[in-house]
Amino acid sequence: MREHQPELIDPERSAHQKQWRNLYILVGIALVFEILLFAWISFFYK
Amino acid sequence: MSSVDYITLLLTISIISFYGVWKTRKNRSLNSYLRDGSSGWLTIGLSVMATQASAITFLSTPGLAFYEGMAFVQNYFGLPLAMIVVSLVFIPAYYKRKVYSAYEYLGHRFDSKTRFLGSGLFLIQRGLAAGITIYAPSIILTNVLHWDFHTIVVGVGVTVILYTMFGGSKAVSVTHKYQMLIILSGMVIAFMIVVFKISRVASFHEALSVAGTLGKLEIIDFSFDINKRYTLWSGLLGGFFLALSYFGTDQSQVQRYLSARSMDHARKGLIFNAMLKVPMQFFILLLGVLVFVFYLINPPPVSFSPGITTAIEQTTELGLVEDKNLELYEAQRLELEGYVSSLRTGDESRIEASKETLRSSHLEWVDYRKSVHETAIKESGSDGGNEADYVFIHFILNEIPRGLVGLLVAVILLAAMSSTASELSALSTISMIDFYKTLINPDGEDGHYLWVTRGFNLLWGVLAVGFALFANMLENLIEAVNIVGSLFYGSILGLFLTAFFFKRVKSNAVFIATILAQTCVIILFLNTRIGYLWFNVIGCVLVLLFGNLFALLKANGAEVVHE
Repeated sequence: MREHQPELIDPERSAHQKQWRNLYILVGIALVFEILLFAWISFFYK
Repeated sequence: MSSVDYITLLLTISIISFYGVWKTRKNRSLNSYLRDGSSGWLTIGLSVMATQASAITFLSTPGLAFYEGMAFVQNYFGLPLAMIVVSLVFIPAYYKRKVYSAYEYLGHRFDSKTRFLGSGLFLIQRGLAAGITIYAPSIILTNVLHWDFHTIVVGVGVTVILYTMFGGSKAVSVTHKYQMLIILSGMVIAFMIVVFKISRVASFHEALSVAGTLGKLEIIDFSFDINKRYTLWSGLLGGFFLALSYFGTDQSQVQRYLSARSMDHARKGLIFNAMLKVPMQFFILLLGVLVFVFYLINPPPVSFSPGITTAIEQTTELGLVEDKNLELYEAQRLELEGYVSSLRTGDESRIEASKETLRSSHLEWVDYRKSVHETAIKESGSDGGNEADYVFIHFILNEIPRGLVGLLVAVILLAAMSSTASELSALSTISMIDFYKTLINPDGEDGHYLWVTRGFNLLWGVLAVGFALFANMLENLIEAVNIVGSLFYGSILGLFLTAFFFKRVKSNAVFIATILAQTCVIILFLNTRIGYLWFNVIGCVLVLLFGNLFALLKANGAEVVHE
């Protein structure tokens, strides 16, 4: 039973989920970048 | 406005509205009328943005930045994170149950009374808010363009009723796409014009330096003060809860992404919104800051609001006030020129010295204007209108070239129409799905339901127009609707989060928890000075706490009885 387990993972579904995870990470990175940019503008144009 | 502007305005609005009706002329079933089910992610993304952005977003936000700077953008920091949670939790739940309304899901998970609590609160809150969405820009346009108030309200209302009534949810999505494209283009054009006009005196960098010196670019506030309106933390946490509640549980938004052709398209539409919303708000606020710099270079009127100007005329000698305003302006303008030339030398000590003199002369001018406004309003006894609401429209009407003025006024009216359309579509869906089909006539035919939904659309539209027409006499009610609306969001979100994550909490527990939490929020609102974004967090957390507590007590009680 254990030997057959890898075949149960649908590679297409797994790739799809990975793609979504990357998209969510990208949203997070964009937000952090925006906050840092705005903090820099606040500091630079004081 | 010139005749070219009127033609631009009427053509822009009518072409988009007729396109919406034409594109959806083959709508024959209730399913396609309420859910559409054919929109791609770009249409969904733009539709979600158009629903959120009302006319006030484009009229008042630049004015807000003009007076208070850009800190308001922090309120949107929680939105991208909320989009991820809606995409991961809410959308799969709604698609799995194939629901038409968010509250239908509550019916599946709990019972009818919890479903009616959610949908009933939505109908009351949105039914009144739809009227305000039309009223707010209409009153401003009436004051500055001297158009007939009733004509604007009825014109906007009837146009929206027509295309939403015939085309349903698909007409809303289709028109949103083009409305949003026109709105964004209009704002970019306005931005380019203000940058061009400033460039005659100062470069873009120098303009930002002037704005920064006068405190308009303090965007991020790291302080933990709960009473401050805009901080990084209230924006991240409070903004997250507000956006989660609005996008996850408000039918006017839920219906937008349920119109997608698949769950993936719905999710991508929200991610599009997550990526674009913060930059868009930043850009609108920056536009307001640049208009502020423009009116440092060019003399502004004593007041942007016609109501305040009339109040000044009634209570004092307007000519004298104008002379003093100009005198203080000229003094400040000299300091501004000194500061800009010091920037060009690069001499740090000179820059610092001219910064101080610019700040003090600007403060003297601002204080004078403020005291004149306050005295005039107090002595005349009139409301005068909110000065910030009139800044951007004053700039549009006086500084934008002919033809483009019509386009920018169209932007404001299109924004009002886009929000109202989503609201009417959502209100008629809830009336049909959560009330008519459930309580009044569960066994009707599809064609019958379709026409009754159209009837609900007409009814809610007429109510919204009626409320907008009489809102003038109900100033306090408008404020109350806005406040109460924002106070409900936290508890409603708590209700949905309980449904998703706490399976042991049953209907009675969550029902009482929601009512109790809402009561606590109202008591806190009346007796404290907590920033309004925090009520979303408090309301939600209280529902989760009370709900789980009641479920636990009930479980223990049952065990005792069992023993």
